[in-house]
Amino acid sequence: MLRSQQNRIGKPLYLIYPGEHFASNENCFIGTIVGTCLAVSLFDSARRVGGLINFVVPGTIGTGGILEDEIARIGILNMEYLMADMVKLGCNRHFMKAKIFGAGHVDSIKKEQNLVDSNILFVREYFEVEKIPIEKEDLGGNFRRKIYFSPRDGVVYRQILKNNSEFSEFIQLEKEYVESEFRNRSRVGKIILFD
Amino acid sequence: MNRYIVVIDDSPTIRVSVEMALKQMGLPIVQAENGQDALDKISKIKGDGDDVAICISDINMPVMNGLEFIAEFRKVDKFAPVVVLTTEAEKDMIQKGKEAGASGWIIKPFQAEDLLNVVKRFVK
Ligand SMILES: [Mg+2]
Repeated sequence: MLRSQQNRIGKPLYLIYPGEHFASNENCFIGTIVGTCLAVSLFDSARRVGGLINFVVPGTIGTGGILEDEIARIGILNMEYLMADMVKLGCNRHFMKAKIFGAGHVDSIKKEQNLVDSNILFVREYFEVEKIPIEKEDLGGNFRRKIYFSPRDGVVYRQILKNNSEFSEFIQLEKEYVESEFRNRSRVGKIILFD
Repeated sequence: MNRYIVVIDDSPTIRVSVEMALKQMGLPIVQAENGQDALDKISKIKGDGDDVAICISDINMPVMNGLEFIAEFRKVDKFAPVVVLTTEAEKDMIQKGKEAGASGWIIKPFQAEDLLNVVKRFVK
């Protein structure tokens, strides 16, 4: 993550890269760029705290839905990281609303045919199970998006990116991130028993 | 007398996944969305003359977090195992869990089968 103070918007800007997330109660912006990946913002209106995450569900989700799916497990894990940081700032799921962006058909990443559809399916079903309303949805298309999220009021500014050459660094990072998520998608955490 | 599995997590997605993973234990399962909710449900279970077989608890939850829950639970139940299931991986936090009276600590992501095996180890 990159924090920059000098920018045209006059507020601190936290730039998150593919695979990263950030939650804050500060008067700032959290920004990212998404192509294939999902950018999800959460805003707790009671606490006035928000968070943004940029991640991918690395593969195709089976017909049984997200709850018993090996691949969806990684998507749930990513959402858990963002949720945990928001809960630490005093948030509660009952007051959260989501905005979802990305899952673009961009040609630099051709991992699996239906990767984009699978990511869209995941994020919709996840928020349905969580009973968190999706306030705004801007998914698909064949372009990348630049997202600026204001965590104090939940406002998102979205720009469609037509000139990819300007963002080649981000494009490369996303490609590397998606590939590494595919390689590590069967990972499991540690089990520690006290006795 | 019934022996309950108590699943405590603020995420419905996680609660349902854990419940599905532990279904084959054949024990009744109660879900709670935070530590306080769990204590209320456990007090009802015990009030009805039933018992807690094991608790599977998250750490980061609103209202009452997992560490506070374990400490409170130990005041009413010295023996039932509590297995923590969390994204928290820091040594200090794991040590605090152990001191509060946890029996195990599983760092997410988890596989259903692994969780089931841990529970089988504690619940005979
Ligand atoms: Mg939690």
